[in-house]
Formats: sequence, C-alpha cells, structure tokens
Amino acid sequence: MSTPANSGPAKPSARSLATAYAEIDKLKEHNERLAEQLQVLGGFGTLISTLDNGLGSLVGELQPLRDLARAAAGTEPPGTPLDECASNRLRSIRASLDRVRSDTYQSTLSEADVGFLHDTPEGPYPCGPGMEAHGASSTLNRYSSGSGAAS
Amino acid sequence: MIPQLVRTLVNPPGGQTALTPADAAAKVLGADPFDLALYLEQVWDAANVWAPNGAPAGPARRALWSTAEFFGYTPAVSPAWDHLGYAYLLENTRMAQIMRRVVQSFRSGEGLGVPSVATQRWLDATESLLFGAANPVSAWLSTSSVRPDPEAVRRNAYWRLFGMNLAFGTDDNKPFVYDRAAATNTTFVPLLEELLYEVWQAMTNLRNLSGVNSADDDRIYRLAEQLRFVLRSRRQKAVLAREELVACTALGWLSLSLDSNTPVVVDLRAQATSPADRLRIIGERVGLAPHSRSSALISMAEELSLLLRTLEANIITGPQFAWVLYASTAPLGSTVTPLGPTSRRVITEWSAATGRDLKARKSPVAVQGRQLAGAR
Repeated sequence: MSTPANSGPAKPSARSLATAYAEIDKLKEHNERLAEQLQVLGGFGTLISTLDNGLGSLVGELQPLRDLARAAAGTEPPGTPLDECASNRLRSIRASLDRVRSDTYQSTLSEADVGFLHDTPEGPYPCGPGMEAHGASSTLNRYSSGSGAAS
Repeated sequence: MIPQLVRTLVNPPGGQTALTPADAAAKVLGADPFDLALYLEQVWDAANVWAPNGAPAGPARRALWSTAEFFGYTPAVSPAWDHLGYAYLLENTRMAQIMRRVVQSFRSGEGLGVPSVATQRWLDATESLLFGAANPVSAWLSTSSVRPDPEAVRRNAYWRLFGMNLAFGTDDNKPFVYDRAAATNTTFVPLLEELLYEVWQAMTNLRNLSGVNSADDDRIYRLAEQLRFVLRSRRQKAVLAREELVACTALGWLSLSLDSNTPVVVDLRAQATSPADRLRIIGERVGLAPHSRSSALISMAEELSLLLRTLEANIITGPQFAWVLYASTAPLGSTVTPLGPTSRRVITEWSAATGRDLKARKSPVAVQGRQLAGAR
C-alpha cells in the first residue's frame, strides 16, 4: 500500500507542465500579436517620418510663396525712408495746409429783427406815454441837429 | 489763409477757448474786414518769406494787428496759405465773377431780396478782400493805380506760374485783357499730367510682385524734379508769394462762403448739399453759369495745393523717394504720411475736369516741344 514519495507530486507536475505549456502558448500568441502590432506601429512610424520629411520639404518649398503673400498683404511699400530734414518739411507742409472739413458742420442763421434805423439798440420804441423820455425825439434831433431844419 | 484761420480757431494755440467748426466759420464770415486784412498781414509777416533780409512788416503795422480780433491766432506753421493752384482751380469755377454779380446786385438794389445783417457783413468783407474796397491796410498791396484790377493780377500770376488762362473771359464773355508776362511755365500742364500718369502706374503696381511692373520710380523722380524747376523758376526770391497769399485768401473766402448753407447762401435761397450745387444755384440767380466741371475743380483744390507744395519743397530728391507721391503708408523706418490718397484724388478729378483720362493713356505726353539737336 505504500506510495512512492514522488508519485504524489508527479501528477500535479504533469498538470502544471501542461498548464505551463498552455501559458507559454498563450504568451507566444501574445508575443506574436505584439510583434505584429509593433511591426504595424513601426510602419506607421516610417510613414509618419516620411510624411514629416515630405511636408517639411514641401513647406520649405512654399516659403517663398508665403513670403510673397505676406509682402502683398503688407502695407509697407518698398522705398527708402526720407531723411529727417525732408520728413520735417513734409510734416510742416501738411500742418500748414491742414483745415477743417466743411462737411463736418452746419451753418445756422438766426438773427433778431433790427427794426427801424432810428430805433434804439433795445428795440422799437413803445408807442404812447414815455416815448419822448426814452429818447425818440432826441434821436431824431441828433440826426437833424446839423441841418438847417434844426436852426 | 481763410481755411487755415478757421482751423486755428478750432484748435487755438496757448490754451485759448476752442470754437466748434460751425462757430469758427461763422466768426470768420462775420468778421470785420479790417480784422481780416490785419490777420492777412500777420500771416504774411509770420511766413517771413524774405528771411534773412528782414521781416516784411514795420512797427506800425505790427502795432495795428496787435489790436485786431485774430491777434492771438498767429499760425504755428508757415506759410499758412494754400498754393496758387488752389486759387486757380477755385477761380476756374467762375465763383469770383458770380459773387461779383451778387455783390453788385445786393449793393445796387433789392432784386435778390433784402440781405440779412450777416450777409451785409459778408458783403463788406467780400468787397474788401476781393474787389479792392479801401481799408487802412489794403488786402491788395499788390494792386494800385498801375494794376488796379485784382482779377487781372490773379490772372497774371496764373499765367506766369502755370502757363494757363482761366476758362472764361470777362463776365460778359469778352476776352479778358491783362498783362501777360513773357516768362511763363508753358510746360507745366504736360509735365503735371505726365507725372500723374506715372504716379497712377505706380499705384496700380504697388502690390504687384509677380507680373509685369510698369511703375517707374526714376521717371516719377525726374518729372517731379522738372516740375520743381519750372515752378521755382517763377518764384525766385519769393516773387509771386504776396499775390499767392492774397489770391488764396480771396478764393478761400468764397470757398468758405459756399462750403455750407451760410447766411449769404440762405439769403440767396441757394441751400444745397455741395458747394458746386450752391454755386450753380447762385449762378442761376445772377444769370451767370459756373464751369460745368465745378464739382471736380472744387473737389481737388485742397489736394492739388498739397501736392504742388510738396513738389516745390524738394522732398523727392531721388527715385528712392518717389513712394512719397503714390504710397498710402511710409516704408519701415519712416513716420511721415505719404501723398498717395492726395495724388489719387488729383488724378481722378483732373481727369474729370479736363476730360483727359490719365489712367489709360496710350502714349506719353510730350513734355518738350523741342527735339534733341542732331550731332554735327
């Protein structure tokens, strides 16, 4: 009835081995998938690298056109800046001829009736009492004082 | 001088009270003509065109203008008046002759209605500034018994500087007789038109970086230089400066009178939306038609003034500076404002006024009548 000492563990070992093989197979499969994925990724990397280089050179080739577009859109004309003396002279000419644009304002005409020539600056004489005291006759006399009619 | 005075009243020097543009224009239009004449002397003295050979005004004249209305408004920058080209364009609308009839009608009867007080002041000043009414200091120091007619003096100046007559004779359509100088700039118009054509070519090619570029900076420079030569040859030792000041004052006065619905415009029932229309209606009132292209002439007067002043000032001293005449912004490193928009306005309105399309010419204008002499 005795059982060899290693007979007990032998059966589990065989099972373990089988399990291990199964694990190894799984790992191999996984490794293969990883390798495939790595290959794919490597292909993408190459593609990316190629595109990057290509676009880079394309961008480089487009740079003069880009410069032209920038120059065309720019507001600075070619030419040499005026020297200080000429600049001051041009500014002075502009300042001396500067004016207010006539379409920025409206003229209005509002003036009071000036009345008759012999009226006082305050307005027409009131009719009735007090008129002479106000100076109507003196005004008339003033105008006629130098004439023969006054004497 | 008149538009510059309005500007100075709106932006006064030395902390004085600023007026609104409408008030400033009304103040000038209602000013005592003697004050205006004294201000003219003040502006003339400030320009000091005979420097360093002594100022034009003596102590008595200085003392007089120190008592005048506009004494505190000495222009900060001189000369504070427009180029004679400004007066020429405005006078070519016939506004001076039309206003002469207006003054005559108001002064001799009531056919045009009863003038308001403001219009009566305007009549006083107009007779003084334009038609030689006597003042203690006459605006027309350049008129006398030797040359009594202010219009004849102006026509003489136009003829000498531009080689041009006005487009009309007397107001009854007879030839206008005046002293014509022998030395005159007959090449001015061809040179100016050729310059404007080249400037337009440069404008259209300003942003052309790939196609055929017909801009020619060297030609622009040479034409500008040639124009400077001919203009300054008539102005040696400040000759014609006084005539220019007075002509621009007279025509500037009329321009201000027509710029808005001023009292005289209202009294003449000529309210309109533009100076040219007001002038046309006033012309109808007094039976004298203005120039058919008055609108174009008025529209470019200020711009031509600036352009001619710049050309005379020797600013374009080489082809590398030709951009001043056609660019809208200065190149990097320069802070001045170029004359691109100014030149563009002159090109457009000159074409409209003369009927010659400066933007599409097939052959250049002949600027010299004489041919090169053959080698012998």
